[in-house]
Amino acid sequence: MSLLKQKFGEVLRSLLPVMALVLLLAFTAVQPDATVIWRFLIGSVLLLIGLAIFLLGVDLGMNPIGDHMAVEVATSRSKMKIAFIAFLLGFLVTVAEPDLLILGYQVQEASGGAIGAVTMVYLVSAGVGMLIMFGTFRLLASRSFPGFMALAYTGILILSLFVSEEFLAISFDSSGATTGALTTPFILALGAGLSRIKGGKSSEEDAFGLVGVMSAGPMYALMAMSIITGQKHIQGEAAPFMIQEGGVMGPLLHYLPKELFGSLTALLPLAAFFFLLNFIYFKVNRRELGRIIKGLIYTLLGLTLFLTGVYSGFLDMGQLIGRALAGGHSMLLPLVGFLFGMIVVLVEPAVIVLGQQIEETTGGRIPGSIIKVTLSIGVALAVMLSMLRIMIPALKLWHFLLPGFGLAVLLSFRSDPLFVGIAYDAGGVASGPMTATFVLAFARGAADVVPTANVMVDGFGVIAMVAMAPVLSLMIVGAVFRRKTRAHEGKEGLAVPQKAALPQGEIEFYDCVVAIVNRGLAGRAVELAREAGAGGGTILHGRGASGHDMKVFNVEIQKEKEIIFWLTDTRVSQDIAQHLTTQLELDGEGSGAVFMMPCGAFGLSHPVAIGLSEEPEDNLLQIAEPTTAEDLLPGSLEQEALAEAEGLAEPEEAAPEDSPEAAAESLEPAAEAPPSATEEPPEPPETPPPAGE
Amino acid sequence: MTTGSANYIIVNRGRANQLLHRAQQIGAKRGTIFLGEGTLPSRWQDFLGINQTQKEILLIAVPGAAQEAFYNMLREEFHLHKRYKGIAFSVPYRQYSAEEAHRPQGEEGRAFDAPYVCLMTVLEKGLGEQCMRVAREAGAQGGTIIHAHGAGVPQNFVYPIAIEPQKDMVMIVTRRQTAPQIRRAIYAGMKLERKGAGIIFGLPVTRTLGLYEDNRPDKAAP
Repeated sequence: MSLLKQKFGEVLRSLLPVMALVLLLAFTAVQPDATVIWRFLIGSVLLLIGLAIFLLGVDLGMNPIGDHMAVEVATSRSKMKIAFIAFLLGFLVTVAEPDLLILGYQVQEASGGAIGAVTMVYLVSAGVGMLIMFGTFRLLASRSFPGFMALAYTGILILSLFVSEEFLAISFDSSGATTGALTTPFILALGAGLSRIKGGKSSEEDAFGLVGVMSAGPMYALMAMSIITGQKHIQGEAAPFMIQEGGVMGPLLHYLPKELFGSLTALLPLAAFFFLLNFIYFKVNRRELGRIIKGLIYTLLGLTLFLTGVYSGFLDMGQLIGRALAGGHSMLLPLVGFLFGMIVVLVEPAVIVLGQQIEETTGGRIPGSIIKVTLSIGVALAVMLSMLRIMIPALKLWHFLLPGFGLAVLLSFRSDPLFVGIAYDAGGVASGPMTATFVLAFARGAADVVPTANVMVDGFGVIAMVAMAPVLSLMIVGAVFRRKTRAHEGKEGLAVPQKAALPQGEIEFYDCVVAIVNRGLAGRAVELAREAGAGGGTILHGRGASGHDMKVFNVEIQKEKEIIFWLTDTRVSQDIAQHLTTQLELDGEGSGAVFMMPCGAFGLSHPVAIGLSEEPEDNLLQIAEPTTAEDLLPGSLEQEALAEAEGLAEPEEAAPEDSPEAAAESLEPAAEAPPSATEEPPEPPETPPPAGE
Repeated sequence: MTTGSANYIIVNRGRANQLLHRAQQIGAKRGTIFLGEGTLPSRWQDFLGINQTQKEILLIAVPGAAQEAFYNMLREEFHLHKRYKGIAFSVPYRQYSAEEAHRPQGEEGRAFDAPYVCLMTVLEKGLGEQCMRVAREAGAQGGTIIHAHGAGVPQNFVYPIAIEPQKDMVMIVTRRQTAPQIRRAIYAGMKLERKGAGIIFGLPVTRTLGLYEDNRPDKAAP
């Protein structure tokens, strides 16, 4: 299954429910022109293709860029440089966001020119830059994340007392506008890169949260601006509603060049900054650079197609559905809002990226699906409540936002740390382009028809709600998760030690010792192994099952494991295993295991573990120290291996050092294969001689 | 004498859980799953930059008695013998336990027969793909890249964080006859004689299922 096919499948699975619901409504309640339906269908196809390509571009382009930037920031030796790069990254990804400029013009118009659009864009970008900077320092200095966010939100709360309701809505909205389709994946990648390079016990939790930090930036910037300039009221006129002109293809042709240009401007500053830093610092090899450039092109193409599809196909449809329902079946509004919220958010590009990243970071332990389900329930409730707010004038935006965020902040101290980061991220992630167009159009359509509703406040408030609700819902799940994990951990560790398999394997020179330990213990295990005579180890992230896994909402949560590989001298591997087992108490079921595999001794003609001097020199010596150095690593042998590997020594046949039987075997593998192997496809009668002999 | 083997099963993302459950029903005790990326040789996919496939690798110990049932299960329920469904291979192991802390001597442990070799290469991050290309030129058919990290080395940057050097681990299963030439090619091509560039080692493989070269015997070796 190729990567592209996989992406298509993923997008299609999220898109089909949306299409089904929209078409159902279109044919029953709304009954629009055939043109609108055709546009919607074409838009859906563009969305599918665009989003799949975009996701591929994020994998190939944005993620590596984020990684390189993260390494540069984390390994910097001066605080100024960290501050500078982090600020600039936040600033650059935001400043070119097309949505932000549109919002800027809206604010400029509504405020009668008192606030310039461009000024606003720079202010908001600077706000984002500052917060990314603080967030980066927070991460590197290992300060508490819930505490940091509580502080950030308290600040917003205090400022919000001084601004009008319209401005509150605009501020939250600008936060939604900055966390666009391009920004969010990049900041996610940056956070993941930073935490990966920082490593340590909390590396997983640290991978998330930077998007949440970022989305506070615009709110600060706008509220501060409102207070400083004394601008309180915005009399917005939402553009009068009309169906776009130009037949089936008209809007498409209108939006395509526009979105291409918009996406290009949004991508350029970041790309330019990357190429600049690449020229000075990274100097990645040509192949990787080619890959990143391909990735950037995919990102651009995908984003253009995606946005064109959304604007040309979904905007009209959303408004029409909103108007028709508000006009004829207003009792259905909350229900339809709930359904839309639930399924539309799954087509958000950033949501898909977040789901992937959660799986990658946790080694698959937290399935992306549990996050997506929680997120979509949160957004569903948010859209439903927004519909109620449009219908009932007494309900105000802050009636929901204030308790919602308050509760989320309180819960963040009692929630699983991994979920806290994901929850704060989810707010920015959920309020992406699909919400900003389709759901917003739906809400505005409804607000247009309901006489008591204010299009400006009620329409915009939807995004604020969508940005709040998933934060809360994920915090709740995180709290449940933590209780469950705690309770579950209590039960373990009493199991009977497992009986080991019979020891076997004639020992040649190297063993591959594999230890599987619970997450967070790898560092300790490497230390212990070093004490017992091993060199440096290689660590993988994995997940394991011990038979009794706990379930959260019927999704199975497996224990996270770390797998460590060492190449050791056979004569010390037993000691290493013993040391690890006793010190880490690996005897109990579910707590881990150590096993040893004979390595290099069979199949390869020499006991080969060449180039073992990969860690600083002392490791190699440490291997040798326990007994006598000459015994363990015969220099002649190593040299022979080296020489042979460089092709200096005479080319060898299959297995000169093996016993004659082994050599015979290797010539006729099929004949000597164990009976169990007979089911396998027959091997070719003779093996062509290896090249160069 | 092989009383147990560690089985590596490489399948497409999302299938490993099911596999683990079935294996536990058969008699395996526990397994560990980690994520990797497969590579397929295709020129146009490579040009488009989409030549990777996302994989999950299940590492599971199966007792000797259940080994046959385990492979039957892989074949019948997961169709691993067909192309693109995944591969499986077994490496003999011994597990440490306090009661049996003696070391096997002499011929005791050599009774298994290893027609294949699993070459493991640990390299700096980002070099996995280049390594795969080098290996392929030397006759390897496919490989899986796993993202790993080295043990943390505390360093004094602005904040005293333990930088964990990121690594790519390349896993290639190949016939015993082709293994030396691939190993040599990787060693030379990736310049492993440089200190700290990486290490390479081989594990004996007693049994395989679904290998690319078995499915395409005509292209088994260039």
